[in-house]
Amino acid sequence: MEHRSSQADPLGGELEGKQQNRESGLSGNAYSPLPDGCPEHPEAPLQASRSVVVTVSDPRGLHLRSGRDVVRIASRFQASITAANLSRNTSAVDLKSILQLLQLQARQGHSLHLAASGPDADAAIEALCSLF
Amino acid sequence: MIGLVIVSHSAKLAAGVHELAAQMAGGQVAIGQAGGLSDDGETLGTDASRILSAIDEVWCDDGVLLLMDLGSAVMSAEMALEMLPEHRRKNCLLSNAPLVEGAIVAALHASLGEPLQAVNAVAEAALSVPKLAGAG
Amino acid sequence: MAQEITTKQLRKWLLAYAARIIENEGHLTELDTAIGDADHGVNMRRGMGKLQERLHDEGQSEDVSAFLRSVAMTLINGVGGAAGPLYGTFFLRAATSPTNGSSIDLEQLTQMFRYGLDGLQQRGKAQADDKTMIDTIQPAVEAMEAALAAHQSAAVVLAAARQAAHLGMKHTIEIEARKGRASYLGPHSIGHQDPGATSAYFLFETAAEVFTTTGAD
Repeated sequence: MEHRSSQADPLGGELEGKQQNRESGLSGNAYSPLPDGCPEHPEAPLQASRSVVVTVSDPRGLHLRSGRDVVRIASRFQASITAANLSRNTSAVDLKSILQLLQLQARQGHSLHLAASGPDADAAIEALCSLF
Repeated sequence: MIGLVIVSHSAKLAAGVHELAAQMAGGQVAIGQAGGLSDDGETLGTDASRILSAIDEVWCDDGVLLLMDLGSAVMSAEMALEMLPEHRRKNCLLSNAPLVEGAIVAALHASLGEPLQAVNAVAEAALSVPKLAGAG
Repeated sequence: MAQEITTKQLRKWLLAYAARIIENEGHLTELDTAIGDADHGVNMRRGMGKLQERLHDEGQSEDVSAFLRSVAMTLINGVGGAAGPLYGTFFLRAATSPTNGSSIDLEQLTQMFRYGLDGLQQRGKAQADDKTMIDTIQPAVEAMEAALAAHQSAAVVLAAARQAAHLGMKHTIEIEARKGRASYLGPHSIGHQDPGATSAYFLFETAAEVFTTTGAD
């Protein structure tokens, strides 16, 4: 299990990161590497958005049942939560939608960029990290 | 928590979709099935009275969402609703969602305790979610 | 109008109808093979077999509405395809039309068909000239209503219904399907008689035969 996090990435930074991925074929380059585990978060950020890169550890990838659990957890939060599969260079999908989540076609070892925005974004990301 | 009814021309298809949906619901949602003609599980077709019994089995005052495969399944489901008493009919909804995707989504969202209209809305949204999302 | 049609006669009519459909299974299959999925004959034969069993059951209610409702349920359970819910709806709605308990008069028979037709149109969302069973039933009901308004005898009313139903059925040969599977064929559906319109015609053909012979006294 591996998590890399960056706080409140501006959109431009994300796009740039994706472009780099496309060119380099590597995932997660744009994100500063952090130690394993869920990210530390600063005191009461005004900008309640948060993102993290997780690696899919399940040998079966993100399948129907594990996807169900992700949607269950994501749905508990008010924050809007998206995920993009950096390893397949997909666009971001709504993590509260099982069908969109399945579109990620996430296999073991794929890097997913999870981004939450909303009042409980921090808690959402932390809760979701534990699932990968 | 709302109930679901899977309506299909084929008893086997209904059972298979039921299996998928049940897994998504994690045992928390009452899911009924009405597949094939009532007298003979091997005969393809839909039967309003069978649909009606399935609605009765999963009945809950939060409502029941019906997911149909295609064609005359819709007519039979409409008929079943007509046969329901008024107070139940207004708490039943026929979904326009595709059967497999719709059942999976509806089962999951029903298990989250979402109300009938909301569950149907996410299930119907499946119509616009392609299976093959190309890489970005 | 003194003539009353009893539940017993309605039963006799539907037994005649079931027999006529079974005789014509091959014909219905042939018609449906041309423009549908070739199952109308088989589905109707299966349903009519169930209906015969049901009608031969002893101890049924003599109440017209209850009788028609049980016919409807038998067709819903037994026919399948699109025809199951459509014929089921026809009789389910017919069962809500006014009766005299265990019999109906000619006006009520006409109303019964009218109720059934209205139900069918709501269920199938088909209009005249869509190349469906509506093309048989609607002109037949209108012919009955017109003949009734002109104070014609039962024999004339029923003959008018049969004649109009027959013309309506034949008219489906000339038109393009706009409902059901045949509509996928578009203009290629022209030149073929609609199987549903054909099975519906037999309702009026057998009604004319049975109610004219057993009812006139």
